[in-house]
Amino acid sequence: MNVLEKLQNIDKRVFYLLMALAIAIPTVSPIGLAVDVTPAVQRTFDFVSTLPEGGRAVIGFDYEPGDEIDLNPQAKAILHQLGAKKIKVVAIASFPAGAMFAEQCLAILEEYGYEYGKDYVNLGHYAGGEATLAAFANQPTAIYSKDWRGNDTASLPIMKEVKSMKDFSMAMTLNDGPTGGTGTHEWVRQAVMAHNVPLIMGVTGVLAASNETYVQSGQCKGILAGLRAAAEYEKLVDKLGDGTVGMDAQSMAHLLIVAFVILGNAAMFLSQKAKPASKGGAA
Amino acid sequence: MNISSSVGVWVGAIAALGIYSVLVKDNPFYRLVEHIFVGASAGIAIVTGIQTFKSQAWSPLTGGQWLLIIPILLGVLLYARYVPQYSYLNRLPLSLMMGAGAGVAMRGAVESQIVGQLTATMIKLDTLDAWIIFLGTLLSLSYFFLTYKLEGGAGWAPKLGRYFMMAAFGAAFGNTVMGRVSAAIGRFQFIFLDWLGM
Repeated sequence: MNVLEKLQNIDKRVFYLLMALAIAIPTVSPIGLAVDVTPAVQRTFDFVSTLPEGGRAVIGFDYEPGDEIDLNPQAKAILHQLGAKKIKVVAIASFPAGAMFAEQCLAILEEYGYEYGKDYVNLGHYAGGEATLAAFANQPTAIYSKDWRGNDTASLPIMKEVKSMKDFSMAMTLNDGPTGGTGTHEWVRQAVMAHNVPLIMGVTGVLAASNETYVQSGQCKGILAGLRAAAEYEKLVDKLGDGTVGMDAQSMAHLLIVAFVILGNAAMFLSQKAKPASKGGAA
Repeated sequence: MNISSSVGVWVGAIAALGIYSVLVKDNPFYRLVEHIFVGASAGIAIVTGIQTFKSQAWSPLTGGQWLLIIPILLGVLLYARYVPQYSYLNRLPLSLMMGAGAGVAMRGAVESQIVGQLTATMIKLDTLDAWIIFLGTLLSLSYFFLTYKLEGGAGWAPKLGRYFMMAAFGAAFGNTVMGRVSAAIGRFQFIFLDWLGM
């Protein structure tokens, strides 16, 4: 087996080992690579900056533990911005674990003097996907009689101010797809189309391309895609966190993947070129 | 190093290592963790279902909202499929769910996913981006023009459309890779930072 053939038949465990090293080393010893802000993230930040101080935002924590690494840092970064603008936050979740993530992330708001029940609330999980989101949009307290902590929602000052989706200055979904929860398309339909509430999305990298169309069409005011967007947003709000920590590892892993794709393809082309031309004709 | 003393963190880290061990070779440790994961997921689903039933149906019902007995009974009928002679009864709640689901979705689907997207392609062609969106849409649609095959002089349109779609698939695949790498980063951060305290 010559070098070109070896390059096309590398044991996949070698690749896994290199990938593990590419992620592990920068995680333990960060390199500190620069993070530039892309226009999509800047646009989202700029939109949130235009919201009126003291307004209200509803955030859907529509993700499961597998996508926590992408979406928790996004949530935390944007909550820093909302907290600085004193925007009240209502959190809902279409996955059971989403309510737990909401609880973790919303704790950030207490740094800004927020009071639970008055300035922010975690309403917890709802079942039923889009139909329940539609009902929530019409009358939030009809879906949530109790919040995540067991309080009567009707007694919470923040919920007395919210009669329908129209009472929010902004809606946001942190979303890892519609399977089992409420997807981004459903949020566009129920928040934007039905109630004309501006929507921004925080999605996993996998969902970025399919949802970019909503930004181009103006139906969505901004989109954050993956851990990279979280790192950029952390830079914009000047609160470095998990997104920034993960960027070195992501860059190294991507470099490794690109190197293997180039090597594999180059080896394939060169080995095809090296093969003697077929004399043709079936026996 | 400041190794975690939390039992939950230790269980999570050992389970993560168990799952990753399959990358070397299928082994009993991996299968044990996989089965625990499946079992725990099923358990969580059952508990969530019971909690949802209590909060959305039982508590309001016993609190005086008697009309909720109708959706509760319809929900019970979903299980009629397990009794062959009454299985037809489960069609009633299924039909209602499908009808309501379609109705709710239709409310904004036409505007958000057809009209809105079409409008977004009707733009002033004064930038390269605008031209790419305009041509990409037209040529990609031409690929799916199946009434008769575009050949000869018009054959370039579906061919270019295929290239546009391949570029889009490449972008989507690149984002997918980024997402999968992120997932690995999350686990590595958990193992090295939260568990081992490095």
